[in-house]
Amino acid sequence: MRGALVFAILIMTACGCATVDVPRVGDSKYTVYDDERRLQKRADEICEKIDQSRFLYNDNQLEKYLITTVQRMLVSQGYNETVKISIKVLRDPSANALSFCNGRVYVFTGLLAAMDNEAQVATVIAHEISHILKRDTLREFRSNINKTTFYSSLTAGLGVPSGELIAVSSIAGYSRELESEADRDGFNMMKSAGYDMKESAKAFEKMNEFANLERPETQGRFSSHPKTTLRIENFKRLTQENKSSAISKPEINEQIFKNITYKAALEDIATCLNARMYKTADKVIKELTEDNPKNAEVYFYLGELCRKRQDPEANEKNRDKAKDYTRAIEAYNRALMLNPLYADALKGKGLVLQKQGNLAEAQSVLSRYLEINPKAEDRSYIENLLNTN
Amino acid sequence: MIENTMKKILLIFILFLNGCATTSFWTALPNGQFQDKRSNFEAAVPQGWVKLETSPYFVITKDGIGLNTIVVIRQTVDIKAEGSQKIFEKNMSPQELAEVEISYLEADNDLLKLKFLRNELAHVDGHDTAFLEYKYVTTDGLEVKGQCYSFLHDRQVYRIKYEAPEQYYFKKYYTDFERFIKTFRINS
Repeated sequence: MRGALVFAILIMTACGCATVDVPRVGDSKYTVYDDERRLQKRADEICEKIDQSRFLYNDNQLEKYLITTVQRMLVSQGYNETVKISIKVLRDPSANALSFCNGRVYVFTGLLAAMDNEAQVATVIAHEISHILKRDTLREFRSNINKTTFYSSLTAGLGVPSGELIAVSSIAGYSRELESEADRDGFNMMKSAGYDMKESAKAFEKMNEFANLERPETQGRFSSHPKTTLRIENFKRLTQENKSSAISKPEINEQIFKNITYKAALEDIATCLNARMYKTADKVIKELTEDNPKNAEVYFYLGELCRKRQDPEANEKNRDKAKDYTRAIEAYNRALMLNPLYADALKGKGLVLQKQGNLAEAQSVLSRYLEINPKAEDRSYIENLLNTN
Repeated sequence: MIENTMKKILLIFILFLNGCATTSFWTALPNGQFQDKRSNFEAAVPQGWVKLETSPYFVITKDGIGLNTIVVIRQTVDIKAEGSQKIFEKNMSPQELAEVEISYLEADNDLLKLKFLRNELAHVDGHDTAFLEYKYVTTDGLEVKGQCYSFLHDRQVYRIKYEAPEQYYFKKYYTDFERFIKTFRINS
């Protein structure tokens, strides 16, 4: 009796997980179903809210670059212009991306900061596009898997009910079967576009590395994409299996990627500092400093990290900021050497000098800050400091 | 015997309940101000505003919580507040207090289209104070405007907030809030 019950449960579970076969987007039999149209309409509404939120990062050049990467992969797979994919960037420190059934892909600043090259980011985007082309939202919707309760906290800032976001996007991840399919299809897409296959596993290794830098409570709002370690194995296996068909000069496009994503990476550092993700900020700053040793902004953010870093676990007596303040001054000085008119670096330096008790120099530096930036929004605070000194 | 014991326990329980109920933290002073003993401050409470007794903080409202509120939160430095990413520290400048306050507001997932209108130095009861003016849209689509004053006193941060729908209500009772701020005093 018990055996029969277990068997029945197994059958029911298998039915629940079974996915629905529908023609891919762009196939000759492709048609939009009524239930899919409703899902897409809701996805449009949610995307509109996301686009109006403070999380949207506007950078036309970056968007154009990313959509060119997408088109390159779609063309290599024989898709024509009837397949509509749009791409936007969100301010979020998670090394991740998100797709919707209406063809929208959101790439997070955290992903752009974590990736080393175009081939790596193409792998992640290809995975997301694969979900769209295979109509995984519809397939998952029809297989009636309800994940709503697990993800209710993710959506409040967008004013979107979590169940609806899950129903029309890849945010909660799909079943293992659909994720593996998307890995395989995404891999094929980046490979046929001429990217280096080896970068696919590296992309997910970096995502995993960044995801493990912070404690769970300080990770980004979209840091929920599951099964990263499983994917790394998938991509290593796929690379091995496709070794014989590898092209002679695959591309990774490292320099162009770093140039175009530089500002987004700086934005990501600012987002990390606001979110108290100091280890992630530190890592991104180190990588940016290696690549851009002559850019004042990177040293400014290093100064900001050292000035703002807080350790809530340490009590007041153990929270010795002296070392951090010395490093902060060094970083601000470096930024000011590269750009003597860098107002924010002057302010940061002045505030640290004030903390160190070096009031005369603080006064001189902060006065210079107000001189360079006469319309400074924080003028009243700075003038008060100058008067107090 | 058991019945008598039960009666005694019940009596003690009722007496204990009465004891708790009569402990009031909010008292009127001879100078016309009101004093919040728990948070150690006094201020002129505008006429018609009522105190919400169920909140752990000092909260008063004129027309209802959703329409206008003045909130006073006193919290100890170095303790992380729920849901926030930053902590207040003892020697923070008003500008740094404003940074933390901004992070508190930004961490609130229910504040959509949050926009900061002013961020400047102010003075409350002689303390250098961070002053923020901001507005946001609620998840129901209501546009709300707010002001927040934050200052340090010993090892405590005092955060005084006024919020009301931008249309009609914010302006209507703004002078009440101004008076509240002007008369706000820490009791040493």
